[in-house]
Amino acid sequence: MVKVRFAQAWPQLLPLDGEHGGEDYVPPSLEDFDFEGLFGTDWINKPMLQLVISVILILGLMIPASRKLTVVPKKWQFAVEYVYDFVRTSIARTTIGHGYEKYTPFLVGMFMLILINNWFGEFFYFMFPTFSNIGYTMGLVLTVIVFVISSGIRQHGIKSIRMTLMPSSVPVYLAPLVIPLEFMSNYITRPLTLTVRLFGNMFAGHLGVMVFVVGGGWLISEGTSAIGFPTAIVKGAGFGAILLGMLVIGIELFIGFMQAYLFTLLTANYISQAVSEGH
Amino acid sequence: MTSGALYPLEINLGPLAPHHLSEVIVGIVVAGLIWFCFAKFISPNFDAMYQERARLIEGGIELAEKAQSEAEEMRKKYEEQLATADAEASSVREQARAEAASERTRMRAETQAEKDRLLEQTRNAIAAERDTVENQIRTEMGGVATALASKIVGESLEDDERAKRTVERFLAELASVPAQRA
Repeated sequence: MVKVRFAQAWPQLLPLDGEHGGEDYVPPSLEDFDFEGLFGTDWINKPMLQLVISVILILGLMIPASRKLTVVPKKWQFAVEYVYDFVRTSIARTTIGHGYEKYTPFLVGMFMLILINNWFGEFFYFMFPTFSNIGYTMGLVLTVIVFVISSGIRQHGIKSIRMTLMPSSVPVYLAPLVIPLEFMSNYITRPLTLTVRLFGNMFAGHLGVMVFVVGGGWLISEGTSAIGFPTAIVKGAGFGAILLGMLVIGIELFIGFMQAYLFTLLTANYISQAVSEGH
Repeated sequence: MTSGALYPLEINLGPLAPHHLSEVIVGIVVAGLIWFCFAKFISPNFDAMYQERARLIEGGIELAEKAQSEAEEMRKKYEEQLATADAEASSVREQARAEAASERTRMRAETQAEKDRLLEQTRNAIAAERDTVENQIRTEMGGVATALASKIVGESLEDDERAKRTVERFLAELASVPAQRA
């Protein structure tokens, strides 16, 4: 194991057992992404509650807000409209073009859902990005793929599947090559990349934040000169790590937005391809 | 892994494997719920607001266009009126010029006629005067001739010489009268 070799070479840099200081240092690991079930079940857990809370937040904000919309925006409406219009104009309209209105609700919903859940990773009391649990990301992406395929079918009927697998511009003799490729691309690669991109960013980001914050916290609270440096330097390093952790959290806020934007943009792109005439 | 198994029966996906199937189901349910609520309750209101806004903006543009077309119409009307007035003025000027010309011709003709009339009148008067004078001369010539005759007759008997002188004198008298017959 890599970990063991590190510990043997530089025991003062990776103090894994209690022999150098107070309590054992437990580095952030996969176990930090697995939560106990609550209320005597194994499926009601923290990420699930976060999802439910995010849905309540979004609907609780958007439904009352949308009922009081005025043509000349008031102060609160300006913010809500800003988010809505961001997805509607710069994602849906620019990507899908004509007829984008039909797909705007789904896109806005996905964007807000992902954005809030990503930012949960940086918010107190939550401190966990929901989509760093791949199961929820899979559910989300499955819904997106169903939406994309059904959009194509609503637009062109069942032949939209054929249009996807065998674009009309391709000569017939290439069909044996093109159909498997398009099938791979549309029904396997796309969902897979969509899932792994969102999950991976959130997972790695959260792990990074934990390394800085948990490690820094341990150095401050448990670190002593026993690990080979003067106590002041150990504690100072802990503070430094926490400060860097704050910086990483700031970056994570941006990445959380970026991933929500990218996910929505790609979804819009897939919808656009499914409903366009030429494909 | 035993030598008999070519493939591991279980691939450890690590964090890429969901912890529970329930996570996937909850993900689908949540995404579907968001989709449904946005499509049913939220986006229709936004769409209505955007439409209303577009309508108002278009209405404003329409109003401005209407005002502009009205102004254009007004301008055309004024231009037309101006053109009409121009044409009228020029026609009045033309008419005046024509009237002046005809007046001048008429006056010239009148003056000519008056002049001719006066000339004629004068000529007639002169002719009448001359007739009168001729008649008078004739009458006087008769008297004078008679007087001369009586003189000649009265003196002839006395002296031929004297008679001759009398005739000469008479002729001289006659010559001094500047009467001419035309």
